[in-house]
Amino acid sequence: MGQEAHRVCYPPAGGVAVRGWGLLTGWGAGLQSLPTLPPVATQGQRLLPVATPDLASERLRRATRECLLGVAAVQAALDHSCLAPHEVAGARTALVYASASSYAAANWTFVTSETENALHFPYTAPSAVPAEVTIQFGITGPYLTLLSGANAGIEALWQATTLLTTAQCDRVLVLGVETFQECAELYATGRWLLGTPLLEAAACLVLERHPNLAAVRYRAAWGTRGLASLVAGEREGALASVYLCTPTAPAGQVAGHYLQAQWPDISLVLLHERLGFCLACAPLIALMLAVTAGQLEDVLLISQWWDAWALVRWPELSSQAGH
Amino acid sequence: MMSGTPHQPSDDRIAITGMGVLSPIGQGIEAFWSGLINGVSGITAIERFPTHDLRVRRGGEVKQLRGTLGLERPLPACRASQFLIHAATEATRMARLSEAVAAGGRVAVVIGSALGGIAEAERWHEQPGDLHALAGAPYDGPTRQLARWLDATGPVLTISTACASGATSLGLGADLLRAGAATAVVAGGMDVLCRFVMRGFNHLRSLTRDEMRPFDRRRKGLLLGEGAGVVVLERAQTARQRGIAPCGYLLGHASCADGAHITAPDPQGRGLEQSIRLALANAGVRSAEIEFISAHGTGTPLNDRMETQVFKQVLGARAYEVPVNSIKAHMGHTMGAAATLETIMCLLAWRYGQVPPTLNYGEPDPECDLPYVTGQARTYRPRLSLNTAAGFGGCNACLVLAGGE
Repeated sequence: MGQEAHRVCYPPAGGVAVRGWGLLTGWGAGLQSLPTLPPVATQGQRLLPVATPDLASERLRRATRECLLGVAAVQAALDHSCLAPHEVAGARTALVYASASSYAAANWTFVTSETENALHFPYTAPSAVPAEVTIQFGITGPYLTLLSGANAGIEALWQATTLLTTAQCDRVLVLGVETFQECAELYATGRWLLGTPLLEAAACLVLERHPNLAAVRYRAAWGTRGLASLVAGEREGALASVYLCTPTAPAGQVAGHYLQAQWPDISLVLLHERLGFCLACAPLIALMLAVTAGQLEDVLLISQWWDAWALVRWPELSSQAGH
Repeated sequence: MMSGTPHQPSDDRIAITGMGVLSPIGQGIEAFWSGLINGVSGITAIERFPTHDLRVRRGGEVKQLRGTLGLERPLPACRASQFLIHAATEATRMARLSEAVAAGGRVAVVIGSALGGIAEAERWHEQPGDLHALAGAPYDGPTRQLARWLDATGPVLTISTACASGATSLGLGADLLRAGAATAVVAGGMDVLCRFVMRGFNHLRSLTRDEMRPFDRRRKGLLLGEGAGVVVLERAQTARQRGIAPCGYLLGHASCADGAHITAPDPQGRGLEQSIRLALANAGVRSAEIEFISAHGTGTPLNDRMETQVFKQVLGARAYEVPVNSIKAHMGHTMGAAATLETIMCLLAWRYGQVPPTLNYGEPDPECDLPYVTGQARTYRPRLSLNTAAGFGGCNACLVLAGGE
C-alpha cells in the first residue's frame, strides 16, 4: 500500500456503467430464468426458495446459506463481466451490500436456540455476508452494509455511484441477498408487512465509472406525500420506464395507479407481479432488466418500505447493453 | 482533489450543528463530558436481564432513562428507539432543527447499529402476541421510530458495519448532504445490551473479568456497554445562513474492508489503514496535520496492537507525538454507538481544551508504545482529529474531524 492516499474527487463527475451481473433466485439462475409474464403457478405459494450453492470450499464450511448465496452471486457477476477474481482483489474494488432479511435466519436461530455456540454468533452480524465475499475475493476497498428494508437496494446503487464518481474506487460490486425460508413462520405472522410469494434472491451488479455518461440521480423521501414529492422532481427529461418495487401488492397497486396517472405514456413495471417479492434485491434485478431492454431514455427505479420512498434515475442504459 | 491539498473550501464542509448523548456515564452532553474528564466508570453489574449463566455479568448499562428532556409524547416501547429519541432530541434542540424544518428543510435520518432491533426479537420470542415487538425486530425498526418521532421528510437509512456503524452512518449522512438529498441529517449510532449479545460474546470468550484496559500490557478483552450518540449534520453554508455556530466539522470519512476474517481484525490492519488514508484524502488533510486520535481501543490484545501499528504506518515518526485515547473503559464497548460518542468526545475536547484519559491504564506494552492519554485528563486542544472504528466482518471506518470556530 502506498504512503499517499488515493485521489478523491469532489464534486462527483461523470456517470456509471453496468458492466455485468450475477443472479440466483427461486426461479433459477440468470435473468433468462425469470418468468416473462405474471406467473400463475405461484398463486397460493408463500415462498419461492433458492437452492443453496454447492461451493465445495473448505474455507466456507461454516458459512450460512445467505453467505454462500452472496459468494455465488458475486462469482456469477464476475463471470458475466469477464473479470477474473484477482482483478477485484485489493483496495480499488468496493463492496456495497443491501438486504432486508438475510440476517434474520441466523439471528432468530440464535435467539431461540439452546445450543448456540461460538461459531454461530459471528454469523448473526449482517456484515457476515459481505465479509465472506471480501475474504473470498480479497476485497479491501470501500465497504458498506445497508439494511433499510426494501429501500436498501436503491440506496446501495446510490452509494456505489457516489464511490465511483468521486474516484474512491474503480469498481463496485453491489450485492443484495434476501432469504426467507428459515423464518417462514415469522414472515407468515407478519403477512401484513410483506406480500407473497416471497422470492429468495442473490443479485450482484458490477458497476464501473464511465466519464461520458450522465450522472445517476438519487432521491428519497419519508411520509405520506413521499412518492408525490419524488415524482414532482422528475418531470423534466424523457422517461422510458418506471420499475416499481413495493413490499406488498396493495401498496404496488396504489403507487402504480398514481405513477400511471402522472406518466400515462411510460412503461410501468410492477416487479412483484412478475417475480414475487424480493425486497432489496428487486431494484438490482430491475436494473438488470432495464439494461437488457436497451432503452434509449432514462429509467426510474422506485422502491418503498413503510413510509419511506427512494428512487434512482439511471440515464442512457442503451449504451450499456453491449457490456 | 488530490491528497495533501489544502482543506476543502469552507462552504463545502459538513458542519456538525447539534450533538446528543445517552451513555452509561451520563445522559446529555454535559453529564457525558463530566464523566469522561473525571474518569467516571459506568461499568456495573447488569440488572435488566438474567446473567447467571454468563462468565461476565458486568457492562455499561444505562440504569434509568431520565425524563429531563421534557418529551411531550409517550416513547415507543422499544428500548433502542428510546435511546435514539433521547439523544436525537438533545441534538436537534442544540441545532435548532425545528427552525430549519419550518423553513422548508428536508431532514434525513441515518442510523448505524450492530444489533438493530434484536432486543425486540427477544421480546417477541418471550411474548409472541406483541406485534409491535415483531415489527420493531428488523435492523431498521429503531431508525423508523426515530424518523416518525422527528417527522422526517428526507431519506431514512439504516446501516450496519458492526461496531464501526456509528462512524459509517455519519459518513453516509455527509454523502446525502453533498448529493443534495437532504438539507440536514440526523445521524448517529445506537445499541442496547441484551441477552443475545451478552451470550454471543460470552461464547467467543472475548469479554474480560478484569477491567477494560486499552493499550495496557495486562489487557485481556472488552466489556460491553449500551447507549446512543446522535449528531445533526448540515452544510457549513446552511448552518451559517441559519446563524448556527457549528460544534465542529466532519471533513472526511471512509469505510473499508479487511477481507481477512469473519470476527478478528486483520493483524496487519489493511482495512483500517485504507480507511484512514481514504478519509484523509476525502478531507483533503495531510496525516502531518492530525493533532489527536480517538482510537477504537477495545482492550483486546489483537485490536490495540494492530491499531498502534496502523497509526505508525500512517503518521510515521509523528505517531510518537500525537496523543491517542480510548474512552471505552469508561462505559464499555457501546458497539454501534461507540464511534458517534467518540466523535462527540473529539469535538468536546476541542471546545473545552481537554482530552479525556484512557481509564485503567497502568503498565506499558512494548507493542503499544504511542503517547496514550492516561491517568487524568490532559490539557490540550486538538483541532484536527482522527476517529477510528472497527467491527465484525472486517468492517473499518475512519472520520476526520475539525473543531468549530
